[in-house]
Amino acid sequence: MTAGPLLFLAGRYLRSRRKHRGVGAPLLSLLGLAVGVLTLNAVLAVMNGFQLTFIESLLELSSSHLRWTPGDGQPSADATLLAAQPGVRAVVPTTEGQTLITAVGARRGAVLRGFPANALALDRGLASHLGLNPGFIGSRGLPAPGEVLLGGELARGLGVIPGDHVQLTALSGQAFSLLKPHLVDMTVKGTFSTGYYEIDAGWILANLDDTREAFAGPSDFFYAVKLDNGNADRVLADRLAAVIGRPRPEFSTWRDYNTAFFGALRTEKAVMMVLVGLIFFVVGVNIYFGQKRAVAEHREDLALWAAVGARPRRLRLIFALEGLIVGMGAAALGTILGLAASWGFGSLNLLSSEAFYLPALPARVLPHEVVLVALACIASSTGAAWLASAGVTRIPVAEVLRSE
Amino acid sequence: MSESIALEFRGVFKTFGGTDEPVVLFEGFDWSLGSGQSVAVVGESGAGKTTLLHLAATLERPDSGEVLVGGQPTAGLDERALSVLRTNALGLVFQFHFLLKEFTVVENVAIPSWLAGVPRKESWDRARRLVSLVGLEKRSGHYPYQLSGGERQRVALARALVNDPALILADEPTGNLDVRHARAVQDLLLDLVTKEGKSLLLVTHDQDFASRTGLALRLEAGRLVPL
Repeated sequence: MTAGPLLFLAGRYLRSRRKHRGVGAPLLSLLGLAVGVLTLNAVLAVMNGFQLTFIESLLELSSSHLRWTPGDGQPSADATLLAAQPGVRAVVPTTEGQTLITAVGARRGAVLRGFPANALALDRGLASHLGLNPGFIGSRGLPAPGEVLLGGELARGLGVIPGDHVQLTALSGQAFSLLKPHLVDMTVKGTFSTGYYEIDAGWILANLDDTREAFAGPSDFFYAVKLDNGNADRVLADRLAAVIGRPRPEFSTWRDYNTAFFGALRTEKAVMMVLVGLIFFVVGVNIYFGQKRAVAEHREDLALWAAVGARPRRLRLIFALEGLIVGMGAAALGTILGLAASWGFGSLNLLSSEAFYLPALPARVLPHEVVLVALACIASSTGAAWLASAGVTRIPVAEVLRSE
Repeated sequence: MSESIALEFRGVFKTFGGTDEPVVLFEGFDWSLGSGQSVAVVGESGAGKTTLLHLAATLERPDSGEVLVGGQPTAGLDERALSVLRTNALGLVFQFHFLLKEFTVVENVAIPSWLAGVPRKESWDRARRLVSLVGLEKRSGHYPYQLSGGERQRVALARALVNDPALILADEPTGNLDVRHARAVQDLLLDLVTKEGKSLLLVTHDQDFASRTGLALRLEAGRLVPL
């Protein structure tokens, strides 16, 4: 028996039930599943938007994919060799430390990052995520010695504008108990915005020469390595360590220093998928009982088909096909609406950018997740219908025909 | 095995009910129906007429003994093989028409053929010919609820013939019909035997109808005796 007659019968039964019951159970099931698919796609798109945008920005601005911390804390010619390796997008010498910034009587703690003046040319990812605000002193770009760039929120909090002078507190000394603070005067070259309040309110960018001289110890110096494929971090860390003959522990990957945070994001997403995905279970139960009722209603029909030669196991497919039709319809409808909603979230300015520090609600659609959601919808519908149709094989044909 | 035997019962035992108080319907029942023969079976309600027909249709299995259809033993056949046998060799007509309300006349007739693997177009062509044969060509697009009782039974007869079975098993096919419609259905069934060479096993309460077949028998105490 081919699928043609079964599809024909399934389609006709489905149409008949819709016709005789108005907005019948199949249509309600289809709409319920479609709402589930729509919701899952939209929620996942927004979650992906937040997570991926944040993760990418964090990787490009802050943590990078790999960090190579030379054991002696000094710049190395091997950096050039690293930058030439396949899969490596950029290698930028960097320092990271903390400081106290003072201006016009205001004082704030801040993260001080040191970059060479040509870092934006070396690292396009950094350049694309670091928004330089208007109003620079001199050329737009990273600071030269004696200059700093302040996060826009930090500058606003301190009440400074480009051209003002600030003082950074540096510590010097051979031991913690002997540390002595001293103030370093700097000129505010300009401000930047990244879209992330923590960075915009707490970061200062300075020239690498300044930070290495006055603010950073040997352990604060590292090379920020950006990769073409951020997920190849561990493989490339092994390979790069081998290429330059350095101990592997000198390399750390973004997974190492962001494990807890990214793990929490993944968990949040998984839990959200399960919670919203429960709608598939609920609708699946509805389909299950709907199909059981349909089997009972078509008891005589099925007995007749069996009597004239159709195999009950094949007849069961009629009802499973109904589930498949409902599932596919719901998946198609829900996916279209879900993608439209995701596009709408990304295009419409639904949230106040000042209140939420967001220029727009980010939405990112991942094709494999869309496919996964659609398959889950189809599987729940078809599976429920298949389970419910088990009764088809147990219909006592002779008894049913006799009782009529 | 002789090809002239359309249906054969060999030592068939069949009981009904539980093990406590079983009702014995057939006890070592032996009987055969020749090809191209029409036989009517009458008998009191509960005598086992429908069971006899269901055994012949392989819808029920005997407790012991054997039923052969067209010379083929059915006892060892699995569900798939029985389905094939019913599709190809048997045409069933019931007292109740069992037409599917969601399908038109021609669809009701064509679908068993399509289910049996005949291409869709050919199934529909066959169905239209048979609908025409039973005099309902103008009703082929109608649904069962739009037909009279007699018309529905004629559609059921057309459906039974769609796979061109050699043996037709009819259970009270005119039981729900008025005299005029009953006569039309009887004529159709008997024509199949005389003109098409098919075999007919008919169960009926209608003695007149029984007398029009080649042989009329009474089912009594698990035995078929001449009427």
